[in-house]
Amino acid sequence: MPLFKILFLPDKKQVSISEKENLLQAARAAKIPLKASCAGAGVCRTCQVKVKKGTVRIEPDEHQDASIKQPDKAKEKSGLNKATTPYVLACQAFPLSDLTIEIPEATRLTKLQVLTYDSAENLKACPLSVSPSPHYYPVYLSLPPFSSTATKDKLSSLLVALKQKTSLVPTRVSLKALQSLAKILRPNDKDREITVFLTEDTGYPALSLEEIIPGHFKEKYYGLAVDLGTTTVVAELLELTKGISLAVKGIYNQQLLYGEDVISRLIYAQENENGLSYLQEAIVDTVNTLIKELTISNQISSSEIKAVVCAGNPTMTHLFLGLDPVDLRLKPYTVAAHNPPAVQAQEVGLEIYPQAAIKCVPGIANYLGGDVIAGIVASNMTEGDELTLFIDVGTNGEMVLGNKEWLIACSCSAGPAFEGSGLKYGVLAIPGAIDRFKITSTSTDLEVEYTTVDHLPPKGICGSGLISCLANLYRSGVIDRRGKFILAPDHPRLRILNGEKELVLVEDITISESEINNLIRAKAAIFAGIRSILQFLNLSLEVIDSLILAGGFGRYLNLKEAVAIGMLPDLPPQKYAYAGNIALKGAKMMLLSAEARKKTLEIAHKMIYLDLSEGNTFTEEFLAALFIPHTNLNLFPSLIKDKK
Amino acid sequence: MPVKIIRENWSGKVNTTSLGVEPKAIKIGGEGALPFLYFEGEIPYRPVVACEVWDEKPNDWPDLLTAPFAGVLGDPVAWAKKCLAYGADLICLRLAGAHPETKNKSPQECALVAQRVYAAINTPLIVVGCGEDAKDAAVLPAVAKALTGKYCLLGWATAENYQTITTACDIYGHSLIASSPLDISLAKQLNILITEMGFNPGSVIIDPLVGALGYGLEYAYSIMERIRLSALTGDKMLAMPIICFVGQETWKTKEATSTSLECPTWGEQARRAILWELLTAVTLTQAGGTIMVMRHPETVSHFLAHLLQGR
Repeated sequence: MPLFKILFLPDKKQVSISEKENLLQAARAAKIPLKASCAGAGVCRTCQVKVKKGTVRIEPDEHQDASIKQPDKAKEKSGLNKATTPYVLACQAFPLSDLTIEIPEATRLTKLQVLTYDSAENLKACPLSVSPSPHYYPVYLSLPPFSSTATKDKLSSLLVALKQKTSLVPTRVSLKALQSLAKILRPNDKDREITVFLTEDTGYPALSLEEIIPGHFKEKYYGLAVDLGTTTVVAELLELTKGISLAVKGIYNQQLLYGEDVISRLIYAQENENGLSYLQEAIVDTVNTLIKELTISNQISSSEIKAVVCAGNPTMTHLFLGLDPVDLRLKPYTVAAHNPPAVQAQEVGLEIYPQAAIKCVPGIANYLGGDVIAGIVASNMTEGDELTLFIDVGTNGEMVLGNKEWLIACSCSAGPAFEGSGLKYGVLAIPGAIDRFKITSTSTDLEVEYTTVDHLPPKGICGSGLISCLANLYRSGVIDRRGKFILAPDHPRLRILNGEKELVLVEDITISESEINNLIRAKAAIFAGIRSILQFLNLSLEVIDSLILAGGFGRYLNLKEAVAIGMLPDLPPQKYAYAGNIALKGAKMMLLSAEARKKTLEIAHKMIYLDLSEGNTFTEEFLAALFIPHTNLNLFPSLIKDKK
Repeated sequence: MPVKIIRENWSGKVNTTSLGVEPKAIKIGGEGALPFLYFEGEIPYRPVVACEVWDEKPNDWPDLLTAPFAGVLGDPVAWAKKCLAYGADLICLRLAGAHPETKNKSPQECALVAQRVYAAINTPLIVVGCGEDAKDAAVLPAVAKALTGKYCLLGWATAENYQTITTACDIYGHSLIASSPLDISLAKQLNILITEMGFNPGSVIIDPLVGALGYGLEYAYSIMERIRLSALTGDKMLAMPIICFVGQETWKTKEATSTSLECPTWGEQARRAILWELLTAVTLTQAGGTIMVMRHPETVSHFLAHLLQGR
C-alpha cells in the first residue's frame, strides 16, 4: 500500500500515512492535537482543516456538508468523492496524493487555562500536615555488628532492626533491595547504617521493602500529585522530605483525540482493536509530558520521582491503569477494582523511578471515583457538624452531601453540554470563548453584548457562557420556560437550518432549539441529582449550610445566572464556596500525609452511594427540572422576588 | 361510643369554571375535597358528560358505535342534537376533517361548522381540533372568533402550540384545554406557560391524556389523583378541573372493537364494549375527572345513572 506524505502547516511537521488512514489520524501521528469531540465519527465538525496541496477522498457520509461533499456523478461511480472545497473534516478525509494541510487556529486544541486550587474562594482550607509522610518513604536503620557464630542472615537482622524501630514487618522485599543488601552490608563493614525505602498501600496490608541504600539518606526525593481529568490533566511536583510544592502544570488530556467525554472514549476502547492501549498510551503520554516539563524546569532527574498519587474518575483510572473499562458501561457494571492497589511506575509506563509507587485515589462506584473522594478529603466537609453539599459539575455531575457523621453521594449524567461538546459553537474555556452574555430585547431586534476569555475575538461559547446565554435568553423573552423560541417567526435573528430554528447570537455563532434543550437537560440533571439526595433523606434545600462547587466551572461561573436557570439551588450566595481544582489538592494531601490517606479510605467506606437509576425519584425530579428555573417555582424564591 | 369520623382538612380548592351562556351555562370544579367525599369538603357541582360529535363521518368506528347515530353521522348539527337527546350535558365537537392527512379543511370551514353546531344546540360547547399541533394552532383561533361570547372550551393547547391558542381564547373569552402527556410536571409546566401569558387560570382545563381500562388506566388514575391532591394542598398551577377523553381511548381498544363473532369467549360485544367505556369513565371520575367525553349513548345513560344514584 503506498504511503503519502502529509505536511502540516504552520507546524511544518510531516508524517506518512496510507490511503486507509484519515487526516485526523495523521495529525495524531504528528502529535498535533486537533479538536475532535466525536472521536472521528464525522458528527461534531470540529476537526476542519484546509487542503492546500494535493487531493483527498471524502468518506461518503451524511454528516458532511453538502458544500464540502457535492460529488459529481462520474466520480461517485468510481467511488471517489473528491473534495470540492479546500476545507474538509480531518476525520473524514483520506489522502489520494501527498498533501499539504493547513490547520486553522479554530481547529487546534489551544492554550489551556490550568485550573488549580489557588482559585478557591470562600473555602475553608484543609490544613496540610507539617511533617510529610508519603506512601514511599525512607527509614533509617543502624544494624548491630554481625557475628560469625550467629546464624542470622543480613535480611533477618535488617527486619529485626526495622521491627524494633517501627514495629513494621514488610510483606514483600523486592529483588532489587535484596541485591543491594548483598552488596552493601559486608560482614566486615564497619558502617552499618542503611536507609530502607518502604511502600505502603492504602487499604491493603501490603508493605513492600523496595530499596536499600547505604548510609543515612539525606537527599531530596520527589513525588507527583496528578489530577487525571477527562479534559485536562494537571500535575503538581513536590519535594517529599519537606513536603514543599515546586510547580504545577496542566495540559490537555491527549485522549481528547478519541472523544471529549468519557462515554465516547469507553465506546472507542470497546469498538476499536487496541482501542484500550491507544487510550492508555494517550493518558500515560500526557502525564509523561507533564513530568518532562516539570523535571526540566525544576532541574531534577525524573528518576528521583518515587511516589505518585492520581485522582481520576473511574473511567480515567481504568484507562490509566489499562483496565478494560467495558464493565463501566455494561451490565452488571462490576468493575475490576474501586480501590486499585498501588502499582509500580514501570508497569504503567510512567517515565520516573521504575519502582515508584503509583496510587490511584479510591472511588466508591462506577460513576463516583477518586477525583470526588480526593475533593471531599481536601474540602474539610467531614470535620464539622454543618451540612455541606459538594458539587462537581462536569460531564457527570457528582454530588456529595454530609458532615462528619455521614456522607451520601450520587452521580448523574449531565451530558457534555457545559463542556462545550455536542453544541455547534460549544468550546472549552479557551482564549476567545464567550464566557458571559448580556442580551436585551429591543422592539425589533436583540442587543447582544458579551465578553470572551482573554478578550480575543469570539470563537465559540464555553460552559459559563452557555449558562449565561440560557439565563439571558429566558430573561429577555427569547425563549419560554421550556426553552422554545417565542420570538415572532420573522424575527431578524431567527433562521431555520435543516428544519430547525436557530438564533444568531454573535456574527456566525448560533444556538438552536435542540441545543437549548440539551442545556436544559444538563442543568436539570444536576438539580434533580441534588433534589434526589435530599428527598432520599427527606430534607429540604434550606438545611444545607454550605455548598462547595468543584471542578472546571469554579469562579468563572456566574452564580446568579446558574440559579436563574435552575441549575443550582436558590440559597444565599455566602453559602457558596468555589473550590477550584480540589481533586488535585486532595491528591497532594494523600501524597504528603498518611493521615489523609487513612481519611480517604474512611470516607470511601463511610460514603453511601445513591444509585439514581434505581427507583423513579430522579426521573420525576428530572422532568420537573426541565423548566426554567423549575416546575415548582417556589423552590426559587429569590427569582419570584426579583420579578416582583 | 359514637364513632368519630376523621376528616382531612384541605387548604386548597379546585378552580370553578363556567361554560356556555345562561340559562344553559354549566359550572364545573370548585371541589374542596377528594371526589365523592362529600363529608370532607364542598363539592358544589357534579362531573359532567360531553358527547363526541365529529365534523366528518368517522371511518374507524365499529358498527356498535355508529348504530345509535345512524343517519346523522356526517351531519354535525343533527348529530349534536341527537346526543343531547341521549342525555349529554354538553357537546364536544371534534374537527377531525381539519387534519392535513384527511380533508385538510381550512380554519374558516371549521369555524363555520362550529358556529352552525352551536347555533343549533345553544348548549355549552367543547371544540377540539384534529390533534395536529400546527393545524390546531391555525384552526382554533378562527373557531374562537366565530364563537365569540359563547364561552366555549377549546383544545388542545400543547407545549408546542399553546401561544396562539391561548391568545385566541383570551381575546374571544373562551376556556382552553391544556393537554400534556401523562405527567404531573408537564401538566403543571403547561399551565404555568399559559397563565404567564396573562390567561386566567380559572379558564384552564387539564387534559392529562388518560388511558382506557387495560391501557394505562392505573397510571392515569395516579397522575390525576396527584394533580387533585396538589390542588387541594394549595398548588394553584394544578388547581384546574380535569377533562378525560374516555371515548377516544376506549373505542380504540380491541376489547371494545372486536365483535362477538371475532372473540366469542369475551362475551357479547355490546355489553363488553359499553362496560369498557363505563368502567374507564367511572374509575377516572373517582380519580378526579370532571368532564367526561364519551361516545356511546348507552354508556352515557349508565354513567349518569351512576352519578345521580348517590345524591
